[in-house]
Amino acid sequence: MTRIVGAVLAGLMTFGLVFGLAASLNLTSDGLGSATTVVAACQSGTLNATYTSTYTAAAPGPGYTVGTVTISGLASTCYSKPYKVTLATAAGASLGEATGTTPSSGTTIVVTFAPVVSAASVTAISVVISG
Amino acid sequence: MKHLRQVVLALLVMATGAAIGAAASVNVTSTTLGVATATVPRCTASGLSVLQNLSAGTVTSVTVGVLPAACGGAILQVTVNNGVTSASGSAAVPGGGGSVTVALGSTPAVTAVEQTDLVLVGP
Amino acid sequence: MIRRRLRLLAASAGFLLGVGLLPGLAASLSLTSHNFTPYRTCTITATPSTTTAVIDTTARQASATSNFGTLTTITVSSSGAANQRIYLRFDLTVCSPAIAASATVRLATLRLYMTAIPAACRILDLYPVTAAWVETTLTWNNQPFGTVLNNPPTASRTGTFSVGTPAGCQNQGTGTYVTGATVTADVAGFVAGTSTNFGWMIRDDAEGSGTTRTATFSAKQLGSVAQAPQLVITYVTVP
Repeated sequence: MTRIVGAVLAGLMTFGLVFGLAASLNLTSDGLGSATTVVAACQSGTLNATYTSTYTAAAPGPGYTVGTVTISGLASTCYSKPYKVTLATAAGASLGEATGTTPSSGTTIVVTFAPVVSAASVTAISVVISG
Repeated sequence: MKHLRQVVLALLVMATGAAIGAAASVNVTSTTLGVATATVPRCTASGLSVLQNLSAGTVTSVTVGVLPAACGGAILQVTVNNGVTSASGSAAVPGGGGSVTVALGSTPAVTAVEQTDLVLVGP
Repeated sequence: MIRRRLRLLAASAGFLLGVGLLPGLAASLSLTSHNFTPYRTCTITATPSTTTAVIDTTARQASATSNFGTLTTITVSSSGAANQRIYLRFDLTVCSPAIAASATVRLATLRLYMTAIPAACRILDLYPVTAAWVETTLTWNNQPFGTVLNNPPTASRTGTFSVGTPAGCQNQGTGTYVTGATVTADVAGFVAGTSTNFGWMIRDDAEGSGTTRTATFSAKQLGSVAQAPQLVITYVTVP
């Protein structure tokens, strides 16, 4: 028991010491606050992307282009949140970005790209949902 | 033994105390943020045979062959462009792969050079 | 006692580890993608009959100084002293849009419409030509591969297909395009710029046969779209 009390006292002393050290220098300071919390995704379930392509004679054709990406598997915990979807090359260069707000019902996000993206170049997709 | 336990307990309390004492803590919460990147896979990387089927000097359909089973169930979209006009069609790839003949919505004339674009969507 | 100590140590470690780790976890979504597979094909057809995008002719040993570039057929034959070889070339620069040098050629197929077939199964070899030639002046005597029979050697052929009426031969009938004449590696080299496109020479794998064996195909000059020589190149711009 004595020893436990001693340990607690040691802790309090440490606390006081830390504070006391600053004061003894007669130093003023701006406020500083810090904290840590976890930033979580709005869902843990898997999203799945599929692509709608159309033939275009004009640039970026002539050829097939991607104008719509449908992302399924949306959970209700991700409703009504801002999103950004990026189609990219294998090297990570952006071919096009689309932004919007996830729906407030259902399980799919229909993402429209304007201008459309050359289908031949699409090798990667990125999705960000925030809020 | 008892000593060791109590020393550890003391250290723990000290560490906590130091942590609390070192900075003025601020309450913070956060909204969610989720990020993901995925590769867009191809159902095949092998050579596909693409043959134009003709009738009276026009392209009426396109037969795409040597489709592997991994492309089974995909939707094959085809467009033939002869430099003047283009014609498109689509068909489902059989479950085991093989070949698919896609009828075109119109029949462009055969010319010296034609571009045929195709895309397999899915599975 | 030891167990208690260990438990306490573990609990402490766990507490500190947990506090340290928790802020470090990344917020990640789980994302998968359906397959999406684009391809492109350039089909070069020898039409009209006057096109210069395709040139074809036959070199005939029995008429060693004559040119046959205007005939409506092209012929491969193995014979004692009347061998024949086909020369043909497709100009890849007519492809529109142009095939980028960085493109990956997945498959290139030479399509010839067969009009006469030998009674025995014959293997026909394809060789990329290594020097320029002219459709209206090429003869047996001035052909790029010279007049020696069975030259170049079979080992250097880049493609092969067989024709003949016997069962089991790859191409057994006339009135249709032959199958099996793939020239993928050659076209890949032309596209990449690592080799020059002088077209192909086609000869019987065993020239100088005691019994004449002849395979005949429609030439550009026939002027029939349904029978014209064709080169089909399937490629991707991004693998």
